[in-house]
Amino acid sequence: MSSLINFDDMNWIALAPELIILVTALFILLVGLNKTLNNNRYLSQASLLGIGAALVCSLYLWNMAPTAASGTQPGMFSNALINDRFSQIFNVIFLVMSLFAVFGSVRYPQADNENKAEYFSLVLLTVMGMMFLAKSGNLITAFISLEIFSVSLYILCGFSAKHGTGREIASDKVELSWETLSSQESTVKYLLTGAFASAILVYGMALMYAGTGTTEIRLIGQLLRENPYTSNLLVYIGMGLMFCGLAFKVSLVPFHSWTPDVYQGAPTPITGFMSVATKAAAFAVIARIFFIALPEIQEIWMPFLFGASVLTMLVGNIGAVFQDNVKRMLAYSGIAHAGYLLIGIVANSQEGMASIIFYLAIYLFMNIGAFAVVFIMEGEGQEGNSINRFKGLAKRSPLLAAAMSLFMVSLAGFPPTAGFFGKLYVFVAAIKAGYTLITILAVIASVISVYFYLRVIVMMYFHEEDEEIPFTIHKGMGAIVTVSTVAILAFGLFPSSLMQLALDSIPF
Amino acid sequence: MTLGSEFVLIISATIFCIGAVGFLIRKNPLIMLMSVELMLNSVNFLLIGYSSFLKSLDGQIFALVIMTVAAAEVVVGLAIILTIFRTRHDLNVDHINVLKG
Repeated sequence: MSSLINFDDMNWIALAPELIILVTALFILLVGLNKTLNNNRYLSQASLLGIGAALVCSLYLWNMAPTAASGTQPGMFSNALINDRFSQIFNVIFLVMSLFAVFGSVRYPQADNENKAEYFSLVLLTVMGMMFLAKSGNLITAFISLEIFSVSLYILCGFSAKHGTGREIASDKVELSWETLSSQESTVKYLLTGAFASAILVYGMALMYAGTGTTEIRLIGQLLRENPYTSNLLVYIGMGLMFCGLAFKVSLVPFHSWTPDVYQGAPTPITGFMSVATKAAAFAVIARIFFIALPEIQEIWMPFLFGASVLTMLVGNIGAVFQDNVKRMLAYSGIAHAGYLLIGIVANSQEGMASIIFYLAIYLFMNIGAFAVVFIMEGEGQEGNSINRFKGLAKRSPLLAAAMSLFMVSLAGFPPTAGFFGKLYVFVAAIKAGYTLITILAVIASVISVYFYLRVIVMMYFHEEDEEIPFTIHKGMGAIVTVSTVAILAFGLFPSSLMQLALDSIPF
Repeated sequence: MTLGSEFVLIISATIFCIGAVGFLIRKNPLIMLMSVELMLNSVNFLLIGYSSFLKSLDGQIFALVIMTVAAAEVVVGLAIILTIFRTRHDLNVDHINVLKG
């Protein structure tokens, strides 16, 4: 046990994006104290500036990061963090996601909300937690960063709820607005299930430590490879509990039941952000744990991941068929997409890893585009996200309807959109690893999904609108929709360049 | 008398299960948060016990981190539950049920 601090591997430059985001988040909190500066416009501009700078840094660091070929050690801060291309490309995914979330926050937080600065600050802190999670090389850092982003998201989910002042009397029957009721429910459900999941996850990590004697992810892999006797019951149970805890975060079946409720009640920009970013963050750590630490005992975990993946795809897609609320439908579709992503882990190969990165990058654009359109069409109250609001959209706004159709077609996985290639690469990786059955089941699941994605398109093009529904396309939302459309078409036409990028970024 | 690692394992697993069952059967969010705390404390017990068996400090550091994180989580959790109680005057999670479908 040496207690010396090693200063040599403190690579602060590799942490530049995280530090920039942290400083921006704290700066925004300070700015919020000034009454004139405390409005959405200034705060979002400051956040965008920080995110942009961090994005440039991440792209630069991706280029500089150690690779398997360069032979330099990726570990830093005593291997608590890992600076490799895998973490940097996830940084880019999170940052682009938060860029969209901030752009999308035109109506949230509402004008009468005093805590606008906290909203933007929390979004940035969430992103910082995710970035650290993708970088973590030690179970302890993974746990801390997971909690940073989870706790920030608990608060963000409840942001459109009206808060009491503490002077209410119990006998007063106050009629609460739908926004308040649903947002409160969303935040309570997310808080309780999230805290429970974290406890299960950390018990798994503790058992893993008890079984192997280390919390370092790479060292666990090395120990299991060199001393087969370390793979004892403690490691197996620890692995199972860790998977259950992470499965809550990515909403895999049977740990998915909170997802639709939380997604429906949360503010729409936050839902869009959560749906992609938490999934990406949790998959980054699942990939690290199962691909780096536990590949030796894959015959133990493979059947469970296989089953979870198949169940998730089927339950997600079948659940989405019955939804009339577009936000809930997208939540179920998100569950199904987590199932497709898990196939990449099941393949347990370098191609599998690369296909996960590819899929997440594409899923980001498809989903954020769809959520942006949902946000534009959103109305007040319980029926505010009903699919009926999309009736006859093609007549009123052909461009918006066309963009939404593209997102739906891409989510369903039709060629030549990017969504098709995302699925294709995952399936090819699975077939190459010898898992033909899971591919067949995944194709069946995506055939089911065609029904509810096309239903939105049918509503837009083949139904007359019941009543004139007013909507305005804000500049920021228009930009998100345009960028997503262009990205989906570009990646759909030239998928191989992005796949090459993903192949360069797999962890080693 | 020295205690074996099985002792630590069994005690922590028991506390963890009590916490998990408490979380699942109670309807009051405050009690549910307390159950989660119980689960986290069983983790601390396991980590510190094994840290002494394995002669490594990682477990103790991990336990410290878990205590800090648990405190942060409870602060946020209590604040959220309080704001909801203020507007509803009702703390049964079964009554928080407007979202479904």
